[in-house]
Amino acid sequence: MTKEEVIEVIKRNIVENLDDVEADSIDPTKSMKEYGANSLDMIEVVSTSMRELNIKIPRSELAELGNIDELADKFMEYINKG
Amino acid sequence: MNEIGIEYLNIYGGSMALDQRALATARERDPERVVNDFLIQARSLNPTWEDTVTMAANAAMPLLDFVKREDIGLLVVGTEGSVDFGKPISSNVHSALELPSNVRNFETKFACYSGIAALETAINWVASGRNRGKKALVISSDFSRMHLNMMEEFVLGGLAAAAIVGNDPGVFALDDGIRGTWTSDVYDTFRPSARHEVGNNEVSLYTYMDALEGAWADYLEQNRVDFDRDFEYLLYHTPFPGMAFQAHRTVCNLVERRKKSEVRDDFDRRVLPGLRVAQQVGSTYGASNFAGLVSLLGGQSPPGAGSRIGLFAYGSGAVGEFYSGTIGEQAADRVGQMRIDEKLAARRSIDVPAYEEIEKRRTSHIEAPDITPDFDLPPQLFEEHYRGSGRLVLRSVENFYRNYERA
Repeated sequence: MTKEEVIEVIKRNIVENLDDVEADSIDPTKSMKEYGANSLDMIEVVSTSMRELNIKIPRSELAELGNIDELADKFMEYINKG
Repeated sequence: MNEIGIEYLNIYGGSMALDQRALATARERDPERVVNDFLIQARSLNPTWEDTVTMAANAAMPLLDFVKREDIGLLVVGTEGSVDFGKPISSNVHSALELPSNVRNFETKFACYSGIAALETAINWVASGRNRGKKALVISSDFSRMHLNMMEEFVLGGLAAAAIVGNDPGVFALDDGIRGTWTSDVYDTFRPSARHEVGNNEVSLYTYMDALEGAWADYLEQNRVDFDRDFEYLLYHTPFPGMAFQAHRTVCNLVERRKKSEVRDDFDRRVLPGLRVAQQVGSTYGASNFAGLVSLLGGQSPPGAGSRIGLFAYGSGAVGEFYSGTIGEQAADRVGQMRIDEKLAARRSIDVPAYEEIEKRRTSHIEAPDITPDFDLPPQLFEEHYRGSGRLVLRSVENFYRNYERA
């Protein structure tokens, strides 16, 4: 799976969990907070994305990430670990 | 059948309350948004003559109208707000309640898990048979530190809960030996001094969800329940009640992926009724699961005897535990006679300037060798809510010796 595909999964879950956000308008260099996500929404986006990608990352590793791109990098790390 | 669990249950939410909307307005935040995000209507607030010792004793005293002191053989008090690093508050509580001298007592600590650690200890003591027919008194007592003008200010509060644990669980029988447990060494929220309550909110929320998933998986290994069918209600630990929605969404989606609206409907039906008390006191800390039971049992349509409840306890640091139990035959009657809603409603409503003054004064007392509480702050509260009530109060601290008495 490519990083672009991972970003698409994250974007789709942002759209499903936040009000009034369209996938095309999401810029991966920004934080989900900029699209109106509160802490609980972010947890849900991360949880549903991990489930879809079939990876399990201790969430405490995710708390310090700054934007969607960094989240995708972290996901790629675990996807490549198999 | 050898049932073990809670025979009697009470909570103590203090004598004052701060309205969440008033606090939001004072902090220039949208009051509706703040209430909807955190699901807190008001937080409990203590005068300077209350602390975790008085709260614990004040939660337990009404239970002693129903249980003889000589029938109690163990007292365990869970707290993350002890007033001493060596002497446990259980010793102060033991004397305040005038329990017999041969009642073993000690304090448990694990952030918000301390109350359930205390409960588990009592359950196992009764289950071992070494209780020689006696009952345990389990108390959880916690209160927030001061966080004026900080992000955490909207999720503060405090509560004490007291439960009699024994072989005749008229209120709540715990499913025997089935505990899903998960642990991890993490700094999410912690109290590195008697003054500080610090941490990282996001780390804490993420760790909570890891703990919930891990504990739920471990529970399922021991008990193959149908999550949607077998639990009439779910009580999740609530650092703030709004957290319970996310917790429920997490477990629901683990069982079967579903839409947010479906989770919301199920949340309204099976989770929200258990948040009633937390919505009135704010953070319930170690007393969270007890507050959930009281919310259900003291509500308009309490669950009937035999209803199965799923519970999740969490302590920062971190540990999570998923467990379950069934409502007892006398549950609604026994909780109802504690008149909990009436007492919560009778708390004095405090405005924001008075709240700030009280919090600053309390903070100035922390670790001070000599204290005389100001019994006029706020005016008339002591006269109207304490004098003659028999509640325990802190009378003074002299050269670090704490003196308590019944008001």
